[in-house]
Amino acid sequence: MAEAMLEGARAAAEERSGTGAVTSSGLARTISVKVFSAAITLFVVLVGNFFLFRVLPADPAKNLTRNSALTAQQLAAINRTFGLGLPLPQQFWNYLVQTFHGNLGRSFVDQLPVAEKIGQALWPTVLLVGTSTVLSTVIGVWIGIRGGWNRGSRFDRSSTAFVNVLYAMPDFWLGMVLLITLAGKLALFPDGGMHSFTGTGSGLAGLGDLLWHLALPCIVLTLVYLAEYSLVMRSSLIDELKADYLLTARAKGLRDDLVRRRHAVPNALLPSVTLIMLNLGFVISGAITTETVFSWPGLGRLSYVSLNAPDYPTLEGTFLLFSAAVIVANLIGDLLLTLFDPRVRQA
Amino acid sequence: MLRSKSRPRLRLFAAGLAAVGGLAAAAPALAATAAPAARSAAMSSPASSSTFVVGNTDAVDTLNPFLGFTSQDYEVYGLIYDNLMDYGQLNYAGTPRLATSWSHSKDGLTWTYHIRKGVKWSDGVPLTAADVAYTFQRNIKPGSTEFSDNEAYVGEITSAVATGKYTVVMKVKHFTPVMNRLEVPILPEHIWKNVSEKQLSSFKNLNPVGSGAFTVSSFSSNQSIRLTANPNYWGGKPGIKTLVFQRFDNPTAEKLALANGTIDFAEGLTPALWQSLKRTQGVKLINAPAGNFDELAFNNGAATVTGKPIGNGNPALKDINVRHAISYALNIPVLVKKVLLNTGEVGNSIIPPIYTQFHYTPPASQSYHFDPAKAETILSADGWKMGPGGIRVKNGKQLSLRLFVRNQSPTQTQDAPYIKGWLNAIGIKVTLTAMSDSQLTADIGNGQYDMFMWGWGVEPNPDFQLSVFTCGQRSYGSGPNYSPGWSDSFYCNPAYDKLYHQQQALDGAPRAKVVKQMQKMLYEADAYNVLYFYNDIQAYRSDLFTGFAPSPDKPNGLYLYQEIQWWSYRCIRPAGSSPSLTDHNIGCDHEIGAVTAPTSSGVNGGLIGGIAGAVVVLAGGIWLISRRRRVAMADERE
Repeated sequence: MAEAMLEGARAAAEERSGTGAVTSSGLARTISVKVFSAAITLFVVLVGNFFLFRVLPADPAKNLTRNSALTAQQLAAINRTFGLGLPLPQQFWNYLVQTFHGNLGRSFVDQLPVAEKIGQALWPTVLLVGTSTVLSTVIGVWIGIRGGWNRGSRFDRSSTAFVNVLYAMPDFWLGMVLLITLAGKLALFPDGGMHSFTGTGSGLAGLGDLLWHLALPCIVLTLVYLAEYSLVMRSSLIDELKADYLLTARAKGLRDDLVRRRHAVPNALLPSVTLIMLNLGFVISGAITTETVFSWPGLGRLSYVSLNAPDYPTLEGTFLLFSAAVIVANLIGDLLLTLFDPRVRQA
Repeated sequence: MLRSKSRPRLRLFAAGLAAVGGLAAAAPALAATAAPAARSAAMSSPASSSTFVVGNTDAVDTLNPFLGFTSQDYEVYGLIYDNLMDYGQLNYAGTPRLATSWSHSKDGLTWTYHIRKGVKWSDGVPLTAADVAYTFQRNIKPGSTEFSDNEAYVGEITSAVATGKYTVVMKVKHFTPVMNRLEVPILPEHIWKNVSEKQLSSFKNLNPVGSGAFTVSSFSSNQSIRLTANPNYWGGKPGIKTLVFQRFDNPTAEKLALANGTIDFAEGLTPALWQSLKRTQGVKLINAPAGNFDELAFNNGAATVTGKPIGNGNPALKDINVRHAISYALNIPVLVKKVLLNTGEVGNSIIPPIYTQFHYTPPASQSYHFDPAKAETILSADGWKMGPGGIRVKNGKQLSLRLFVRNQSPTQTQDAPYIKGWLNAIGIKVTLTAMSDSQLTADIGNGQYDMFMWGWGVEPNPDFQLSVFTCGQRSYGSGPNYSPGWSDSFYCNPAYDKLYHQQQALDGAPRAKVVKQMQKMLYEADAYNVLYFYNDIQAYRSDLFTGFAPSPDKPNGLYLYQEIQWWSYRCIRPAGSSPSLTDHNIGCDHEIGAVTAPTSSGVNGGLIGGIAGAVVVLAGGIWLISRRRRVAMADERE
């Protein structure tokens, strides 16, 4: 009896530490299944992306040339250059091959390679969205923990109210309000863009200038997104409050602070991790309105400009990137959960 | 085809504004005027204040002049490069620029151009006739990118040869007045001979070598470009040292930047934003008639160039009486007032009135005006009897028409409900659909429409705009997806085509006479209803800069973004400084003196009201939520 209990405890310990032979192969299988299904999803997106832009009404060659008196020969030449005259399956094959080689085609507007345009816009978006995601996660989770742990306290009541208001705000609206008040009337911040056009260029001054431009769009995204993290964190912490293991921890004589940090928060963090990873994927494309309000030269704005042109190859490229971002972020979220939560691994 | 966005050098639409215009409308009360704050420290010193910053909702895509096509691209190309001629500020006649004089042989087939002496490229190499000849040789090869890009100017040229160091001789197939206005950027042979036609599409031209008044010092595609004045410019040193074009995706931010003085000139504002600057101290507003119009287009009977009918247009619109009735049902002054906020005027013929020598004004007795009773009489006389539901019927068929509008156009989407209402009032049923530009282009090309709204930007040379109504511009190819030509009315009249070819071989008054006759023909046939001519609205810091050379040469002329002209840039100078220009040929003697805008009292009521309102709403919301929360908590406790 005692032996059997010991055996069971050892197995449980092995499972938790992930060193057992059986569980590690299970982990590998879980991971490979998840990666494989992500790859399938990505391929479906690729197919959808290709055909979506082929059913649009416009004649790409006509759009591209924007010229009055094109002869039939000239049109044919353009169709040849862009491979538009080929049968659809062959176009699709070319598209796949080129995409896997990192060639996303050329912009209809300025004829630059789409990969290059996306490459230029990627860094500003990563900077803006990355910074704001880190800020909103840290602040949001902190507010959620503090509020949830002391439910009903003055801090909890006021922060929940405040966060609810933020949650209801569209980001472009908040952006416009901050722009008009802080950048307009008070002139504390620039009116948009990423750098001053006065050419105050390099080194420390350049960095300061960049941060000054980053401030407002970053504040907007942070405020709008922190609400979600804080609310989710708060409610999942509240769910944990009644858990027996907390009672045990307290009975062991642990300080309240330690009970929260070591026991309640790690357990309550799981839904937040999922949410953060989900948002991370969407947030790249979700910054379209904020980037447009603040003329921030990132991917969202690139999509907006391409949509107005209309510049299909660039749109195709950004769509692909956005979908890939969501899929990859989901995959990472799944994998992280597998590592964090033994229950997921066993399932 | 994409019309206003497209070549040859048509001005850009307010397209970019559309989506963001919606955002701008989100906070109208807050978007009120503010007293100008001091310029930021970096820009307040006198030396750097000769940096002139232009804000626009559009930006330069590429510095390769063969690839760019937006009006902002051309605005910058015209500063980096010189053309042979300028369009004159007074009457759009060709005036000397790199060519000091020119003449043609008696038969009009051989043209001799004398090139300005002593001009240097920005890298120090002298500019000669060889460069000019090279540029045109490169442009005249049919089928090439270069040819497509400049066809409107070089289409008739068969050869270009430098016969001396400063003389170029060109030959043309037929006489054409375009040879007096060759708006083609002259390129340095020693740079461009290394760029083959194949390499052209990937050549970025990041450090352009030009002969113009400015050189590029930094460029960020689709965002901003910084230009430095060329101190050795043959036309005199420009009055500013640095010129910046900055893109704003958000016109509200652009307006704020002008009010704060971080930019000095704003182009591309919406009428509402532009009007909100009226009381801003130091800002002057310009409401300049430009070469633009919006139209209500009719399907006059869609067909291909071979005359084969296509599409599904309502045959009722082939009847001139129905078109007349529609034109008499429209109350266009209302659109000008409510939609354009008076930044435009009621339209009539297809060449806008700023081109005074070409514009045709119909006599008052013949012009269409709001007269619904007359419209109803016309329809009744035509056999359209009032039927059930207030919709007219003829031979058992209801008078029911589709109206397509562009969802990208904030003004046209506002116009459409008015038009629907006016037509309903005379017994015409209208089904309204908003769609994308590309969808509409395809529908027009296939003739699958009854009416739609769009617009054109007309350039000083009316040739292209007139060509839009020729039979050869109808669709071609085969169904179901026909290739659209430029025609968007499917008007086809051999007599009109004959006049079109006739005007191509004429110049001056005889040409103007034919051009007017063609417009009269279109107007009387009611092929199209030109609703209004919309202005180009601009605003600038008159407290900081002066010296603009408007075109046309009047206080309400275009200050910048002139119709293929660049008169102001060389003349702008900081307010209070004296003109430093010596060469009067370049138009600075036409400058408009510093005009001060009416001063404002600073903070405006709308702003205070807006903020107060927002605060009240916010506070109320917080109170409500916290109260509900408290109640919920109390429930829980119990």
